[in-house]
Amino acid sequence: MTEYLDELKVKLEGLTEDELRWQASLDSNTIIWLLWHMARVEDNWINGTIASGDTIWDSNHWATKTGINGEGSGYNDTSDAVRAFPAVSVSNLLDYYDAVRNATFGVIDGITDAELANEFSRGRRSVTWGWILGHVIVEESQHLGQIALIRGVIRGLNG
Amino acid sequence: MASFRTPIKSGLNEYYSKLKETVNGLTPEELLWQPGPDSNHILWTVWHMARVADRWANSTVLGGEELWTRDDWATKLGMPEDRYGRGETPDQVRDFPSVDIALVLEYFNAAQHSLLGMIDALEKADLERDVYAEYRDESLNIAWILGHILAEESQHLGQIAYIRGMQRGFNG
Repeated sequence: MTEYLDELKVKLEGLTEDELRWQASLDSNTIIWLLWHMARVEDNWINGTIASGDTIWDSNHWATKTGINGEGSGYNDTSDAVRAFPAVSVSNLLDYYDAVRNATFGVIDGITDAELANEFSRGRRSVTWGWILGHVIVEESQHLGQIALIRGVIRGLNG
Repeated sequence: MASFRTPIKSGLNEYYSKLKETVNGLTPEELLWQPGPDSNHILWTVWHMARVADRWANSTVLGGEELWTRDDWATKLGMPEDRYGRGETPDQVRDFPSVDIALVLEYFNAAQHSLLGMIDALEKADLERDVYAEYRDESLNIAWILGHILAEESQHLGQIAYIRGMQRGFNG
């Protein structure tokens, strides 16, 4: 998890507002949307689901601080919603992500071996905490890979 | 069973099954399409993911021979024995041989199987151990390697899914 957040910060460095909001195709997500979604995903799974508490998004009023609608996490957002994503700075979103991460590691350090088998039901399907921990790394890293790809499409190799 | 294996193996299975879904039904043109002149295409990325799994499991952690050469996958795919993908130029990606993705996935299946076997063979104490990765010229901690495999392979999967989305649109 440290690896993908560190790498994310490197990939965001120096990007202009236009680059952050560039869509590779009409249905493609932008870098700024992906960054926000990554932070929300980790917050929801770890602080919301596993710690079964309030997310950092809610408890620390990040919807107000970022000017982003408070409800969703981006899951199933339409292409129009991605295009209409509000103007928000990378540093503002990274402050939120750092706050999430701080809480995340506290939660993970508190998980015992036996608790990995704990189940969480989501709709019709049930997942274990062990699954959630693997899933968070896999999902977040996919989005990081997408950000790196978009940056490469815009700027070329080593750009 | 040592509990560290649970999230790692779950993550490995998740990205691997999602990968198979994501490449399903793509045409040879879609597999070789590059979104930018310097961008990797899907076929190259799938092949590289398989090489990554093979190398970490069989060579770096287990200290043995990679399936790539041991089981003649390089020959079967018509590629040099030392080809791995790291640091390749855009020209090399463009000139990648137009191999059958089914054959690449067959290699990946074997590599993935060996990777899961490698994790089953590890004990908790092994996580503290360092191994030397020759091609990177550095010693790396096994716990770091396990996290890294998930992070690296999933990044590549995310790229494949994104490139598919660029070509086919939402739900395409």
